[in-house]
Amino acid sequence: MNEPHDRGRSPHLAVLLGGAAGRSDEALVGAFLAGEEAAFAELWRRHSPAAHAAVRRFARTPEDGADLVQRAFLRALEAARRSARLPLRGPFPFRPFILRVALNLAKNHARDEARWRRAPVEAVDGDGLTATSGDGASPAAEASLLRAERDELVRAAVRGLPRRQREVLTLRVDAGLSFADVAQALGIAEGNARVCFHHAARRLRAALAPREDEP
Amino acid sequence: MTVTRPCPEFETLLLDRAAGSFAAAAAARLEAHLAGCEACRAEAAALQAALAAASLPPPSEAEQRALDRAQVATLRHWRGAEGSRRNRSLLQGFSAGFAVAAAAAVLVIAPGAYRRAQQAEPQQAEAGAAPDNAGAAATVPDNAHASTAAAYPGPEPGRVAGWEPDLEAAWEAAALAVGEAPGDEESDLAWAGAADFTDLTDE
Repeated sequence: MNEPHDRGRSPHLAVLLGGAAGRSDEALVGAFLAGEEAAFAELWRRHSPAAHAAVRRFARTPEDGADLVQRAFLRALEAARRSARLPLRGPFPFRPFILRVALNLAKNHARDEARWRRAPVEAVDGDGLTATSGDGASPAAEASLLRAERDELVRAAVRGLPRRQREVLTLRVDAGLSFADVAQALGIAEGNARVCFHHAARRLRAALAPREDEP
Repeated sequence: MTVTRPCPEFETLLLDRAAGSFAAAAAARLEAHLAGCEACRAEAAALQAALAAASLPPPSEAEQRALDRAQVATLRHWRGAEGSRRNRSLLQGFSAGFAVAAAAAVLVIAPGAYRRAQQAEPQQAEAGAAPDNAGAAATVPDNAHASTAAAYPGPEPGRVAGWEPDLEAAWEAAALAVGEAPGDEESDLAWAGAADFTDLTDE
C-alpha cells in the first residue's frame, strides 16, 4: 500500500545503504516509536520534501514553511503512536496522512496570515517566493521581466483555483506525487484527482491565453 | 491573435500529457498526431508553459536551511512530549493504584462500620430470618440486603434480614480513604464502589 515512496533512489542503493533506508514506512515508524532515531531521519528524508511542497505556497517565509512541516510531522507521529496502541489496526498510512495534515495546516495558516496582514501589507501580495527575479533594471532582463509577469499571472490563477483543484495541482506538480498517491492523500478516487488536475490545467492555460501570440 | 482550437478528441490526452501521466499506447497515438497538427502542438506547448509557470521553483537555500533546523526541532519536540507523556502515564498508573488501594480499604473498613452501627441499634433487627436469601447474589448494590448479610454476618445470624447499614459511616470511610473531606458533595469518586454507595443512599 505505501511501498513505492522511495522516489529517486534505486532499490539497490537503498539496500546498500542498509538500516533505515530499505524499510517500509510502517517499519520505520514502529522503530522510531520504539526509540530508534535513525528511523526518524529516514522518514524525514522520504516525506519532508513532499510535505514541504504541499505547504510552501501558503508559507510567507522559509521559517513558516519549515514550521508547518514540523507540525505535520509531529501530528502524523502522534497519530501513528495512537494507532499502534489499537488492538485491530491496519498499517498506518504515514505518507498520505502527513500530506493531508500538511495541506490542512497550510490552509489554516494562510487564513490566519490573511487575517493578520490584511490592513498594512496588502500591497506586497504574492506568495513570498516570486521576489527572486525582482532586479530587472537592465534591458537584457526585459524578457525575464515579461516572463516573471506571466508567471505572476499564472500564480494568481493558481491562488484563484478551487481548493481541491489547487491541492491536486500542488501535490502533482510541486510534490511530484503520482495520481494514485495524490488521490490517497486527499481521500478521493484517482479518476477524480485526474479530473481535478485537468480542470486546473485548463484554467491556468486560460490565464495565459491573451499572450498566446508569443512563441 | 490566432488561437486555433486543438482537436477535441485529443483534448483530454493533451491534459494527461501535460500532467506527465498517461498510458504508453495513448502517448504514442498522441505523439503521432502532434507531428501533423499545429493547433494541438500549440495547445500542448501552452499547457506545458502554464504548468511550468504554476509550479514552484525548487526550495531556496534559506528554505533548505529552515527545513534542516525543523528536522532537529521536530525530534527535540517529540522527545520533550515523550517525557511529559511518560510522566503523565506514571501519574495515571499511580492514581489508578491508589484508587484500587482505596477500594480495598473500604472493603476492610465498611464491615467494621456496619457492625458498630448494628451494635448501636440492636432493636432494629427483626426476627424471622430468611435463610434461602443468604446465598443469593454476590454483588453489593442491588441485592444488598441478602448478599451483604451473607458476606458480613452479624453477631446473631438469625436476626440479619432487615438490617440497615450505616451508609453515612461507610461513605465517610470511603471519602477518607480516597483523601476527600467527608460530606464533600462535589467530590468526584471515579471508582465503581463509590457509585454503588451513592445509589444506595439515594433510595
